[in-house]
Amino acid sequence: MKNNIRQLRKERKLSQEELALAVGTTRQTITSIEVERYTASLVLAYKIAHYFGRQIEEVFDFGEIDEKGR
Amino acid sequence: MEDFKKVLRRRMWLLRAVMLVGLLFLLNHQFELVQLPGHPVAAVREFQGGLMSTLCILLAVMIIRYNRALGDERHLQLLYNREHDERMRLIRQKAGMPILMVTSLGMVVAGVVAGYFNAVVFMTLIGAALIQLVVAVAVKLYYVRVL
Repeated sequence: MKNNIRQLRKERKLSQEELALAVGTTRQTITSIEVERYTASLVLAYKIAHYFGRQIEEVFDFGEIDEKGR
Repeated sequence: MEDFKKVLRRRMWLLRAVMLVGLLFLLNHQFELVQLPGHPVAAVREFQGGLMSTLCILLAVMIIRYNRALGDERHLQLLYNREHDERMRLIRQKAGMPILMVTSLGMVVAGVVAGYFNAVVFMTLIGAALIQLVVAVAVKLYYVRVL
């Protein structure tokens, strides 16, 4: 799933490790989400969005899922 | 995080107990303090010794790692995250890890015991356990790359 986690991280000069530690996951999972290999669960997506002070749909692009669902 | 600390402490006691059994086995294996039934052939005997030594070393490493985590909040958090990571949980599930580890360990223990009586049964059990483990690790590595 497309997302702008990398961009948000860069804006805050945050490493993957720091973000992972803050949202209770591993650096590898953050990498996988950023490169769109892994789709985060709703809970993790919420934690990441909440950490950046954004709404989930501002961080993750659900448009792709909507298209597949049709 | 306090609950996780309790879990780690409980785990450490269990690991120490298993390690103690392993060390007693190794001691007996080396000095033959207690005569066990059956006579394993030399190769089987050496394999049993090697296997138990490896197991004890692995357990010691795990105990040291848990001990380190208990004394350092950052390491504790990293360990907690690693154990509760949703992606790793999915990968382990896909690789059939939890049950394969249990059955493989059971087969290894059964193999070590069988080694005292029959070398063929020993080889079969250890071989089957190894193949199971190799397949599980290969599938896990595949999913680590894919997910």
